[in-house]
Amino acid sequence: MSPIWLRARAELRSGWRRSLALALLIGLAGGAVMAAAIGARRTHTAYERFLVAQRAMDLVVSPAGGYSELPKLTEVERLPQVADSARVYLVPGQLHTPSGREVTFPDVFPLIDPVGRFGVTFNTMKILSGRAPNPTRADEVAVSFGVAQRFRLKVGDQLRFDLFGHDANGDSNSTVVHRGLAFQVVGIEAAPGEFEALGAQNIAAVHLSPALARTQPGVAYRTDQSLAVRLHPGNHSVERFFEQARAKGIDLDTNVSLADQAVSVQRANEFQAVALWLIAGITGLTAVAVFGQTVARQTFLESIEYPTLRALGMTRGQLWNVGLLRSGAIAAVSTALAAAVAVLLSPLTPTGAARIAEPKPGVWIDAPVLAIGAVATLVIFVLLAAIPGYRAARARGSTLGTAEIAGEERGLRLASTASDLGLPRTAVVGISMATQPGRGRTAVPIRTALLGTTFGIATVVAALTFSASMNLLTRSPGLFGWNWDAIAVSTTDRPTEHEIDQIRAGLAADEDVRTFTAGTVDTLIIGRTELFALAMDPSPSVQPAMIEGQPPFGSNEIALGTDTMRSLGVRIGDTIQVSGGNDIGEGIKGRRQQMRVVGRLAMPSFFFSFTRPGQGAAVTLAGMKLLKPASQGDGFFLRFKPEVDRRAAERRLASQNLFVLPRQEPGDLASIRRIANVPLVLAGLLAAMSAATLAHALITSIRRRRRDFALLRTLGFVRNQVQATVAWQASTLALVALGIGIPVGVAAGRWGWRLFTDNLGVVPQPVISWPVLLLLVPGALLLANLIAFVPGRIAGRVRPAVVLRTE
Amino acid sequence: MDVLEVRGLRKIYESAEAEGAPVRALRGVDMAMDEGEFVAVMGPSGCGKSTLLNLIAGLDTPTEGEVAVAGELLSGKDENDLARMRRKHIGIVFQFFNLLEGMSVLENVTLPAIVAGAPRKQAETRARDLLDLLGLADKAGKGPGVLSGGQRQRLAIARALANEPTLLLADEPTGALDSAGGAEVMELFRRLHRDGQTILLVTHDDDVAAGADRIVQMRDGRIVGEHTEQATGGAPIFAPLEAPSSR
Repeated sequence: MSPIWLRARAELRSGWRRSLALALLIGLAGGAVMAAAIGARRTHTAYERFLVAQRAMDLVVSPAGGYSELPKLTEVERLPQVADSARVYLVPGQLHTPSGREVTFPDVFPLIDPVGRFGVTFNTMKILSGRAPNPTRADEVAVSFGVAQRFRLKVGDQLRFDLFGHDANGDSNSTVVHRGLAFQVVGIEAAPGEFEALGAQNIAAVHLSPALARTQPGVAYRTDQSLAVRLHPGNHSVERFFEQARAKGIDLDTNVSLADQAVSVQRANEFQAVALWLIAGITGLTAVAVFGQTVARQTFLESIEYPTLRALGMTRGQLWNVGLLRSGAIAAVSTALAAAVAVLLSPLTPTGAARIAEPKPGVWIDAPVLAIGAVATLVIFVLLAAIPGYRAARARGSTLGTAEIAGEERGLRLASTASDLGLPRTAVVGISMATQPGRGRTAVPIRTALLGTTFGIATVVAALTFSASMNLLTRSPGLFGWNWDAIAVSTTDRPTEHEIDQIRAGLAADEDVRTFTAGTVDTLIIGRTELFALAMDPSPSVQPAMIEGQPPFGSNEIALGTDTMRSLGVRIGDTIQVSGGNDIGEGIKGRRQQMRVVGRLAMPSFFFSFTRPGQGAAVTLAGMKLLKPASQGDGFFLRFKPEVDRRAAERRLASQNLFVLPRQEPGDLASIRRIANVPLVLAGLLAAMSAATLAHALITSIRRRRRDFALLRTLGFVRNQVQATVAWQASTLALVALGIGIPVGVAAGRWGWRLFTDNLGVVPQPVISWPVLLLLVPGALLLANLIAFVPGRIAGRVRPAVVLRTE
Repeated sequence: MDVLEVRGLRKIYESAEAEGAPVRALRGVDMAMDEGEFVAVMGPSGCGKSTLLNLIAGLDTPTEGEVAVAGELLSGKDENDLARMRRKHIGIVFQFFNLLEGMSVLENVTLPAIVAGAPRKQAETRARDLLDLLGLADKAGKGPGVLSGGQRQRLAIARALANEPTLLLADEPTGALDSAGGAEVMELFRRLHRDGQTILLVTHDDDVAAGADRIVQMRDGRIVGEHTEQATGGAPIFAPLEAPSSR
C-alpha cells in the first residue's frame, strides 16, 4: 500500500462527516446543473420526438378546384411520395361550451374521420387527461389542450353542437340542420398540428367519434373534406409530392403544413431551452464560487499535519497527491450523487408546451449530459482542490509543527478607517475580522467568502434586472415592434385614391384615434431573401420601433431587422440593393433601388407573415412605391387615445368597412411569459447560496478565531460585545459584497438582457428595479445579522481560560 | 565515523514586513556527532536551537554553511532528495508530539516505513515490535487521542524509530509533559542510547540535558560552549569555543 493511499484513506476516515457533507452539497449543486441541462436538451428535442412518436402527418391538403375535384384525392393518396394518409372532415357547426360561449370555425375545428384513423392510428392523439373517445360512442369527443385551455373545458364537460347545413354546391352555410347534438368531453389531448404557433396554422381540434358519422350521416360534407398525408422522408419531399400531384393534373391547396408549424413551435420551445441552459450555467458558476472556498478550507484543514508528514519523509509531490486523491474520492461520491439527483429531478422538465409534447414524461436518463456532467464535476472539484492542495503541500511548519499557509496577511484597510471615524470598538474589531484573513491555523477564507457572497449578490441583482426588463418587454408592445395600437386597412381590393382619402379623413375625424400614418406591409427582396417590410409615411408620432439608428425618412433609406442585418452582413451606413421582386402581380415588375441602411428595427409579427424574429425591413411609403409602383398605402398605422377602450374602438372601426389588424404579440412572448418566473426562482436560489456562503464564512471564522474571542473577553469584552463584533463582521461582509455586487450585477443583467433580446429582434430596454435593489440592501443586512446570531452567541460563550490554555 | 557534521551554518530569516530587520537565527554554527553519541543542545528561547534542528533535518535550507548527515551533504539536494534522506537517516520527535490524529496508533508508526518503501506487512511487524517495546502494544488499534501525554510522546518516539534512523532528533521532547512524563521519556532516550542510537536533543531544561553524553550550549545563534560527562566527571564545565565572526 502506498503512503499516499494510506494517508488519503486516513484523512477521509477522520474527516468523513465534513467530506460527506461537502460531497452531498456538491452532488446537489451538480445534480441541479445536470438536471437543468437535461431539461434544456429535452425541451429542445421534445416536439421533434413528439412528431415521430405520434406518427405525424406532414400536410393537410385539399383540391384547389373544390367540390368537383374531390375524387382526385384518391389519386393523391396513391402518389409515390405519400407514405400514409387519412381523410379528415371539418364538420361545420357551432359549439356551445358549458360557460355559454358559442364557438365556430376557425376558433374550433370539429374533425371527424369516418374510418376512425385520424388521431387514432395516424397523427395520433397524446391523451393528456381522460381517455380517447370510444369509436362506438357517437356522443364522445376529445378536445385539444389549446381548445380546453381557451374555452376552459375539462374532462366530463357537456358540449352542445348545432350542425350547419349546406347549399346546392355542397358549401356549408350557417343554416342549422340539427340543433343541440350532445357531446361529452372524455379526453384532453395533444396531436401534431395542434400547438399554437404564430405565423403558422394550428388546428384547434375537437375530435368527434367516427360513430357520429354513422348515426348522423350528414356531418361530413364533401366540400369540407381534406387529406392528411405523411410523406416519405428525404430532401425536397414536399416539393416532390406537389410535383407528382401536378403531373397527375391535380392542383392542391395546403391547409396545414406541419413543417412550418414545427419551426414555429420549436422556436417557442427554444427560449425555454435557452433559459434552462442559462440556469445550468449560472448555477454551475455559483456552485464553483461558493464551494471553491469550502474545498479550499477543507484542503487546508486536512493539510494541518503536512509539515509532520514532510518530517517523516513524504515529499511535496506525495502530499499534493494525497490531497488530489482525497478530493478525487469526494468528487467521485459527489459525481454519483449529482447523477442520481439529476435523474431524480428529470421529471420536473420540460415545462410548458414542451412538457405537453414530451412523449416520455417522467424519469429521463440523458447519458451524454450525465457523462459530461460527471466528468465536469470530477474535474472541476479536483481542480478546485488542486491549487489549495499545492499550497498546502508547500506550506512551512509552525512552531507547533502545523501548516502555516503563507500569503494571507493582507486585508482591506476598512478597520483603520472605522477606527479613525470613531466607530465603537465592537465595530472596529468586527470590521477587522471581516477584512483580515489572518494567518496559518487561524486563517479564515475571507477573500473566497467575500467573492462567493459578492458573486451571489451580483447574480441575484442580475437576475432581478433581467426579470424587470422581461416584465417591461411583456408590457410594452412598442419594444417588440408594435409601435402603434392597430392597423386599419381598406376592405376594398385595390381601393381608389379617393377611397383612401375618405378613410384618411374618417380616421382624422375619429374621436378615438389620437394619431396615424399611412402605409402598408409588403414583401421586398434583399440579396436572395424575400422579406416582409413595413412601409410608412414618415411621421414623428407613429414610426417603426428602432433598436438603433433612425427610422427611414427618405425614399432611398431602409431600416433592417437584427437577423436580416446579420445574415446580410451589413451595418448602419451601408448601402444595399433592394428589389421589389420580379413578379409583383398584375403584370407589374418590381424595380431595383440602392438604399442606405439608416437603422436597426424591431420587426413586428403579423399573423400572415412567417418570419423568424429580427427578420424584416422598413422603408418609407414613397420608397416602397419606387420599388413596387403598384403599392398603395391603403393601410393606416394608428394610435388610440390613452383613455379609449381599444377593443371597442377596433370593433367600431371594423364596422366601417375597415379590416382592423389589432396588436399582435409574437409567439415568442408567450414563451417569455412562461419563463418569466425563472429569473426570480434563480434569484431565490442564488440568494440562498449567498446566505450559505456567508454562514459558512462566519462559522469558520468563529471556529478559527476562538483565541481572538477569548483574548477579547480577557480584555474586557462582555458577551454582548463579542456577539456585536460578530454582527459587525457579518454586516461588513454583506456591505462589501453589496457594494461590489450591485453595480456588477446591474451591468451583468443589462448585458445579459441585451444579449437575450438580440436574438429576439426586439428593442433591448434593460431596466433596473431600483425599489427592489434598495430593499436588497437592508434585506441583505438583516439576513446577514440573522445568520450571525447563532455564531455570535457561540463566540460570546467562549471560555477564555480553556481556549487560551489549549491554544 | 561522523553521523553529523555541521560547518559554518548561518540562517537569516528575512522579515515579512518591508521595513523589518532580518532575523539572524544562526550566526555560524560548527558541530559534529559520532555514531552512538547522545548530544543535548541547550540554550534559552530564540537562541536558534530549533532552527539548527530544522536545518539538520533538511526541513529548511541554510543561508550559508553545510550539513552532512551520515556523510551525505544536504546542500544541493532538492526537496525530494531531502525527503528521501530523512526517510533513511532521520527520525524526529517534536515537542508537541505532532501525532497524526486521523490515523491509529499503529498507522502512526507504520506510515514512515511505508513512506520509505517498506511492504505494509513488514512495516506493521516493525511497528508492533516498537509499540511493544515502548509499552503501547495494547493501544495499537486506537487513535492517539486516547493516550496520555507521556504515552503520546512515546508513540512519537516509536514513530521516529520506525525506519531505524541514523540520527534521532528531538525538539524539546519533554516540553509538553509533566515531570513524571518527562522523566519517563528521558529514561526511554537513555535506553535507546544504550542500545546504540545516535540522538541529538534540543532543550532549555538543565535536567533534561544532563541525561546526554555531551551538552552544547547555544546563545544568540552561536555555540558558546560545550561539556562532556567524561571531561567534567559529572560537573558541567563549559569549554569556550573560538568566537565566530559576527555578521
